[in-house]
Amino acid sequence: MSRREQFENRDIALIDILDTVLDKGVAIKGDVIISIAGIDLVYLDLKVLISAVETLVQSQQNEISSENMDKEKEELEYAVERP
Amino acid sequence: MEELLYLYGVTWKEEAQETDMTQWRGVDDSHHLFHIELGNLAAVVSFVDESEFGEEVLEEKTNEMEWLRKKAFRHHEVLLQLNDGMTLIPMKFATIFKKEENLQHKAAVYETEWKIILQQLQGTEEWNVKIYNRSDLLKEHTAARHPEVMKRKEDIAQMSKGMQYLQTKKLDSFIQEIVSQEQETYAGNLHHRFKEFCVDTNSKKVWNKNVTGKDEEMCWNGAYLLKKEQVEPFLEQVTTAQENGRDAGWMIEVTGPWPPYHFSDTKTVSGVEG
Repeated sequence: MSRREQFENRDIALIDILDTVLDKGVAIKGDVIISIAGIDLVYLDLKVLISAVETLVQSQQNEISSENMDKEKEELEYAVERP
Repeated sequence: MEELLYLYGVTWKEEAQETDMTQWRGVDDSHHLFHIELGNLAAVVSFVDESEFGEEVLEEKTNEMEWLRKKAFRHHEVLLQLNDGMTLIPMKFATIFKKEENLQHKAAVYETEWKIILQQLQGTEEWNVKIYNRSDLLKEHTAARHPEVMKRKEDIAQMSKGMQYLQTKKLDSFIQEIVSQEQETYAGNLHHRFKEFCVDTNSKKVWNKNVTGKDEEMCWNGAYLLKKEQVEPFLEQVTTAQENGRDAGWMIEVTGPWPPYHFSDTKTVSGVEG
């Protein structure tokens, strides 16, 4: 087995995906939505998100096998959540 | 109902033409993907309903963690799929235009930068490496193997009981000092070793334990852009580092290939080095 096969698309934590695909990253305090006039680029309000992520991490630790998580897991073939 | 354009990424026109993406569904799990040609480039997009992705609605939706989690995942999933077959400048979650005209306008502004980035990304992959440490194991390891510590231990064994007590305490703080230094330099050294395989690297935010939910401390979080042929030797190096570090409490996590999120920033292009 190649190293690539060993590591490819494995063990990607939820938080890692959120941190990467959301504009400013989870740990940075964002301000309000930035909307560039006329261009319509919309970025998320990270202040709201930080607390949401913190809640999520806690619930991840406490309810790993909750119904929601199982459902999410089935839906996501690439992303594997970790406690 | 109004429809908005959700932008996933930008690629070369030819690569978009060669990829049949019409069967793939977008971030809303409903509308299909298509591309819009922008000169030699192409934007990969799908329609989304304003009732779900309009700016004001989106502000509300960010309060709904379930919605956000699902959509952010879906966004990432679409990008993984796209990234598998084409050179791609990935967009962040919720990059949305009201109409094609606005997207064309944006493209005109960034065309030159996007082309430079796409050339840099040609034939590359992004991988991420996180380095964690368990300081208790590192301390144990240091106490058992560090040559200076071992020498001092031998010296202490020859001393009187009173001296032994004092010197052992001194030795403890010496070990602690070594551990701290080690944590600082170890991750840095590994990064430099990994860097040799890379076209470019980027440091990411190091998360605290509240965010990671791990017992180990995160010491390094980095993104690595590699030529495809360098991926295997790079991962071999990572594996070696994993094995070498295990006993001393080091944990190295590698994930990928990622869409090149960390090497697609238009703002960095003008000031790019080398």
